[in-house]
Amino acid sequence: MSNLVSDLELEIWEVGFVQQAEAHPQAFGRRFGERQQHQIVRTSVATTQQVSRVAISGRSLTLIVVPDDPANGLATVQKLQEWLDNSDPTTAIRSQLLALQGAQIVWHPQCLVVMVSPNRLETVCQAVLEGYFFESQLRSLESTLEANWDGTLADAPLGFEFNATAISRREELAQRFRDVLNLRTRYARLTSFIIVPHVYPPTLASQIGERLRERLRMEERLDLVDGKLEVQEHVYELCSHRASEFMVARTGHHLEWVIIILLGFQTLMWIVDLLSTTSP
Amino acid sequence: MRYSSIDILRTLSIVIMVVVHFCENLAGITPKVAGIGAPMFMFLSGVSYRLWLNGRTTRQLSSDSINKITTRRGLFLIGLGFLFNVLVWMPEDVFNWDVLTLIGTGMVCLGMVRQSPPFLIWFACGMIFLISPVLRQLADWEAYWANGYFDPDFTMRDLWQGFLAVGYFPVFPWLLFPLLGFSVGTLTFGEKSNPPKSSLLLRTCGVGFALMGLAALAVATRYLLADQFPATWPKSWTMFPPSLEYLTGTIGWVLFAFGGAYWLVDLKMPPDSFKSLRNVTEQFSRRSLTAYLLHHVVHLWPLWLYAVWQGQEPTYYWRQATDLSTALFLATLFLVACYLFFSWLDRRKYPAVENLMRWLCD
Repeated sequence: MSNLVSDLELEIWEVGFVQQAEAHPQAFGRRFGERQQHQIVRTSVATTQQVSRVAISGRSLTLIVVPDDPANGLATVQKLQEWLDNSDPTTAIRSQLLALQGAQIVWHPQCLVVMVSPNRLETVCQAVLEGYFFESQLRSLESTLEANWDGTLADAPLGFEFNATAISRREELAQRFRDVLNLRTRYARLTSFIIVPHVYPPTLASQIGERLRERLRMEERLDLVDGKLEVQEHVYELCSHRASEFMVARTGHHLEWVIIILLGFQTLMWIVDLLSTTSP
Repeated sequence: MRYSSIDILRTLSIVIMVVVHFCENLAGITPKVAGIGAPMFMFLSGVSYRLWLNGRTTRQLSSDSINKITTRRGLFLIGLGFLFNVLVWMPEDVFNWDVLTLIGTGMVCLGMVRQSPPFLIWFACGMIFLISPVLRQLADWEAYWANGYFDPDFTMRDLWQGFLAVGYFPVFPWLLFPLLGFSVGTLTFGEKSNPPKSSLLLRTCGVGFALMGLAALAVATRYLLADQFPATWPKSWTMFPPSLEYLTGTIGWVLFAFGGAYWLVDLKMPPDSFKSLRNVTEQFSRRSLTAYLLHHVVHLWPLWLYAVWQGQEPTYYWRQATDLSTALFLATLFLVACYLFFSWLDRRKYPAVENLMRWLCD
């Protein structure tokens, strides 16, 4: 596969996303997302005729633009898809191919391949990259939630009983509670970009977005995320209630003990006084 | 895990104790360092209990077992204290309430308060500090110490008064030191023997220094403005009875020494520095109970036996057997011999009193 040589010249973009009010000097396309604050940034562009020269950095997204050539283009897209599927044998992630109104799009978590006529290139790239952005946000939510499970299971007993040995973990629990709330906020903000009504009349861009969401099962995944978040929220809500109740009760116990100690000392003084007045 | 700073401070306490006891009991002279060894010894018993507790908790020992071991150890020390009083001093001194009975009582109390929040222990320490002079006043301390030493009758009243307020080391105020050691140990090492932060140790050191300064100021005020204080007020710096100035100063000393020594020796110095000094202090620290018993036996029994052999009262030569320099020489000789003896015990793997305690109580 690495020896595949294409007659076509592939255009390779390194793409990133920024969230800022000012226009980025390397911004591509139009702004999108919440309050139109996100911008697509094309950090570098290179060309090659060899697929093996395409490097996936892992830090940013690679977008490969294949020239719209019905003879060689489709074969090149297929080869690129195979190459992407075999690029990391340790993962089970497989790429998705979308063919829509003459546009060929390959989606992969680290790389996108687009073959489309030059006059529709910007529109298609914008739609694909927006879709990719929201899917990556969802993926990030999923992976964070998955990573939290061990901690959640370890903290779950504190939702039933909070004791003195757990006091030192209060800050840790509070941090996790804040993290879960943060995830819930991210979830809520993401929902409006994933569950969206169909656009009428449909455009190529809107269809690409709908098809991507459908193929990547984004709505179903969003439901799953909601369920998982609910469990984690419930655990940390219980923990916060127990911790709060325990600390309030503890303060009360301290005061009670202070009174008991004072009474104890008073009794002691009385005993010593009594002893000293007793004849031997 | 052993902490060299604790070993060094405990060895220092033993050295001070040996020198003071030899000078007092043989030559009748009390050196100026008297009064700073015992508080440190008791304070370190509290710190060590915290570390022991952390070790047992890490090994998943049940709370019930910890309670039992602690109580058995406390009772062992109290029993050993009584036996020591009878055998080393005289049978009539059985209830003079010495360091061992206090440390034993402290151990039992620490077992009871070990799960209490530090705040309550600090509060109890403060109350002990404040109430002790009142208790002494109520119990008429002077009546028991008319001859310069604790002289009770064999009555239930004197037994309890001695234990609570007027003995050599009564619960009030001396229990303050094991409790303080335990709470400072908890503050320093936590409940999992975590390495403490430099800032915490330096703060402990600073608080200790401030308390020592406060005590020095109080003593200086009493001396410089003697006319301003009523003549009936208790003396300023006394160990028997432990005056408030003395308590403040010694609390300051133990905090200052503990924080400073830990910061310097265990945090800042490389672990392999002063290897031989660390070995010597570890030897003394591990056998501190044996050293306490042994030094009394080797300098008091010959006094009693020689007096009996000479046809005198057993205590005839007490405080008048030698001059100061001879007493100091004998104290030094004892410390060297003691170190060699402990090394020999180690080489032969012979048990000492500490091993007996563990065998019986753990």
